[in-house]
Amino acid sequence: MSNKKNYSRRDFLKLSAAAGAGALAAVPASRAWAGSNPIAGLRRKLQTQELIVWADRGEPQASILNTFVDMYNEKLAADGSGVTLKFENIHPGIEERLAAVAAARDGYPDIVLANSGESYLPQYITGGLIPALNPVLDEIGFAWDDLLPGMQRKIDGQNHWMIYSASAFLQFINLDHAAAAGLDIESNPPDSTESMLEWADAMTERDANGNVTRSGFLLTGSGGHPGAVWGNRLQSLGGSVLTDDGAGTNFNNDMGLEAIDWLMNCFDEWNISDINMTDRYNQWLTGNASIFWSGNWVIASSLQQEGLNFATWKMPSWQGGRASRATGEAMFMMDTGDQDRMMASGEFLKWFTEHLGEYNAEAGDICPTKSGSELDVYVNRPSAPFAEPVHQAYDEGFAYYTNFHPDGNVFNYYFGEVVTRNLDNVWQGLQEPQEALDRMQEEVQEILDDRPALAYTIE
Amino acid sequence: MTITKEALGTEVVPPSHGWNFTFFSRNDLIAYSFLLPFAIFFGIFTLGPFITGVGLSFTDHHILRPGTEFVGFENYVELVTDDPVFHRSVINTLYYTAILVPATVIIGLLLALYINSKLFGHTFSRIILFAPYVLSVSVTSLVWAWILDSQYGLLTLYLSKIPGVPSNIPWLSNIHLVMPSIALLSIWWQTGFSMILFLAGLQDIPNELIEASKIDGAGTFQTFWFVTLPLLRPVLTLTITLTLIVSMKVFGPMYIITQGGPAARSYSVVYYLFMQFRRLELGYASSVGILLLLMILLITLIRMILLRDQTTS
Amino acid sequence: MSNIKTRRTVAFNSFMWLLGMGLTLLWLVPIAWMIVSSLKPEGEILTLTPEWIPSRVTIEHYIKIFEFPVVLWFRNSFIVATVTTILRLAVAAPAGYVFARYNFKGKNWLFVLFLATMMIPFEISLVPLYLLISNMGLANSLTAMILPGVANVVALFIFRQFFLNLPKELEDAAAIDGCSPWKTFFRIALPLAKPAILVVIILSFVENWNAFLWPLVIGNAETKTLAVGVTRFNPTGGDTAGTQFFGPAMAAATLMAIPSLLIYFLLQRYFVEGVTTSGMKG
Repeated sequence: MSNKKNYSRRDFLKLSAAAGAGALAAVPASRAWAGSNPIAGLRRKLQTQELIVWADRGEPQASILNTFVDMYNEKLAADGSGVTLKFENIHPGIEERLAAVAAARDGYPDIVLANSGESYLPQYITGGLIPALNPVLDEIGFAWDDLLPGMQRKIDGQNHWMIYSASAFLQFINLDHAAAAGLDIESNPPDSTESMLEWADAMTERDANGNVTRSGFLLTGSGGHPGAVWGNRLQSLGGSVLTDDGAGTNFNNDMGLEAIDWLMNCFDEWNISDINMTDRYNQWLTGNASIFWSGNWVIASSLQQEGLNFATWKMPSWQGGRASRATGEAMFMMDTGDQDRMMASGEFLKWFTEHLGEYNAEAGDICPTKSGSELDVYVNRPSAPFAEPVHQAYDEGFAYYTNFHPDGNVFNYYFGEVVTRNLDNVWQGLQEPQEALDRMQEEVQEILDDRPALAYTIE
Repeated sequence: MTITKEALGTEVVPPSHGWNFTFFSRNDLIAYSFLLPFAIFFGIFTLGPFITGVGLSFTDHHILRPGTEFVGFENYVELVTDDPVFHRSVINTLYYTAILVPATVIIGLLLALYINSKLFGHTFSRIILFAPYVLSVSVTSLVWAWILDSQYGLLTLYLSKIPGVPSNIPWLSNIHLVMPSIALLSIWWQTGFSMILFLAGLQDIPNELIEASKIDGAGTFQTFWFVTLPLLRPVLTLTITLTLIVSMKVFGPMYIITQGGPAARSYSVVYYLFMQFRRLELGYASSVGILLLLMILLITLIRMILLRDQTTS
Repeated sequence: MSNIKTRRTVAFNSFMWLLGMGLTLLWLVPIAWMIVSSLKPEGEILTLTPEWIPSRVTIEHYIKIFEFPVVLWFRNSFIVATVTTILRLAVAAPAGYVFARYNFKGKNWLFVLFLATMMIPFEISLVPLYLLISNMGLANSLTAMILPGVANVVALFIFRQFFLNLPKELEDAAAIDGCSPWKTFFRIALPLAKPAILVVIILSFVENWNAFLWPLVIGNAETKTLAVGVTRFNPTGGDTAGTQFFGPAMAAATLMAIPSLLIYFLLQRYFVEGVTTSGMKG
């Protein structure tokens, strides 16, 4: 179970704990006691072939994942394999749990079915706790060709995680507002930024003083959402926070400034967005906004919302470029140091990958495999017509990927700590755009000098 | 205060063996036997981990990076001199404390006076006003995240009925509003506690004192100012101290509702500590915790000096 | 003269009553809104005018929540809160007693030490504590959630204050009659300490029922507590926002609030008495 690496640190921690309170004096006694204690944890159970599966999803995805793990357990029982999977949804709080088990070097799950995982995957990959999947999956005959293009992100040529649901940004458009403004999505779609701005302007409602009372273009005044929109504008122009090799930056320039100006114009110049907007999902769902840029996870709740008549379209082109933020829900294994367990975990990943069509049909998400995408149940799922722009983002190659840094979620457009905090200074009027970009450049460079981001390739 | 030898009716007999029993008297040993169960749990589960934390704060320990080194006061120096987000967190926390402590103390005292006056419905009021204090931070944050929703929140819905107030108020996403909004949540949550403390203090004041003061011709306000308030001073001190400690350690609403935003204006010191923990920088995170402890000690000390001055003058 | 005074008193009392009642009703609003919202059909929750009376009362959100192992979470929370409370009483009562009744070597130092630990943010101890518990082989157990909460300084202070204010003639008499110190404590002092015990029960139960961060880190599927479990329904923040709704969230919040409120309502009379007699006055 325990990892052989880094014993010095463990010893250090143990020593200081002991020096602290003479606490370890109590350990042998309590350990003996724990042995006879029915609720004393998993240590004993792990001796059997029970694999621990952690999920980190909200509803309904968590429950659906649970049913698929149950299905796999039934298959295992039918095969008489002696292995069982134990499912546990940890949401929210997976980062805290992972940090704790990593510190103790004990109690890892075998498999994690994560939310995107962007913020912590790089930490644990560089820390050696999330192993490359290739040795295990190659040995059990994983069908790599079945994965759609753009679904694999490799670090040092290895897959450390697989995508089980793909995501990309797209435009959500309220069709009632469009009809009221005399706009028709068939003849004149908001496919370019120019036409999208025309649409937004025509659908915006303003009061007598000219203040926006219903946003033509939904944009919040702080946090992850304007960060993501800024990132989209920047990527459309060809910029990015970090270069693909993870060593340099490409935002503190005219492209970064132009992207900022575009957002500020939505608030001030074109008057199509309300900077006081906070609760973007509810605003969109209740018909209080006309165009909303977000991910395909909004499709399911939009379909559930009574009285919301909407369409989707791919992200608009801008000055010859087009970009859509690509993410995916990641599944990975943890390095328990036990080859048998890791093989058994690999078997589950293989089985689940073969059933991603059914899973994503039910979850309403985007299937990353070819065979799954062709299943009737997937093709005919209710959200299928609305998910088309997501497929386009991958097929037409304008999906862009967020960077990966061992410090966690620091540079991502979406809630990356450094990016969000510095850009908030602009939206909230605390700093001039150039000042904020300079400051951000300084911070990013300082972190990169300490440790570069991970270089990756897309397949 | 103590059980004296006379009361016990026994002489302390020096035991014939072992020097240690002459160092600790029999009385000491009895006392320690009472303390032992508490001390065991306290030592293992409170003091031990904390001292480990103190030790970690002098290292560059990172949960996944091999090779931890002793770095002396490096973390502290960096936090104090070269960490703008930490500075921002300290300012935010002090700002929050500066709103919360006076508000809960003043409102709590007013409510205690109201309940103590035994007017119609005072029991009902007492029950309701203390009730939020028993709710968890997740319930409180969930309910208030919704009440403070920029458009559909109850607060916006009612306030926007006033002419001139916009229909969209960014309680939690505007740099100027976010900390006062969180403080508002906490006032609702915690005022009941200071109210109960004041109530206990008020009920301990002998009625004769109040009556005597009234017979002497003092008005209600005069009685309050010259008789009640001075007698409440110990409770006041306790309430301020406890509220100070709790508010300096604020974390839950930031973790559940605002995630430190916008523009780091709702980072509290403990939230910053937690973010460092999430980055797995355990050494640095521990230093943040120790600095917070020192800050609380300092503020408590200042509070003690200030309140002492008031009585002597 | 006395007429003016009476009139003044009446005016003052009216003012106090209006202020106090006004604040009381204001304080009631968030809890009432939470409960009302949890009983509304989903489509009626997000409205631009505050609707206090739903067009129809529905328990659909509660049904949805009970599709999850809420009963297990409930049971776990109850065990953790109850056992912690009992153990906390058992260690804090004698400790508080001894601080009130005895002079012993190191008393002041210990007192200051205990006081100072109240100022430590728990988050700093999180990982060291996890390492300790994990080394004991107790990770993922309910025991692990109980142990760290047993030695509670606030409970100790409550008992100390209570015994400081309690006349000690009875105990002295018992001692003269030859009762041993422990016997005196159990037979004489403890039975008189009912108010303090009730205060500790309420504060401790509520605190442990509501505990979040530690149970989150140390628990697993079987030992998940309600406070951790209900956050599944949190509709704000993060990547999965927009796929969750306020209805189930408010139902979960209500469910979570009921036991704390219930134990408070049932014991509140003793509670206020207890706070008063134990005189938590520092």
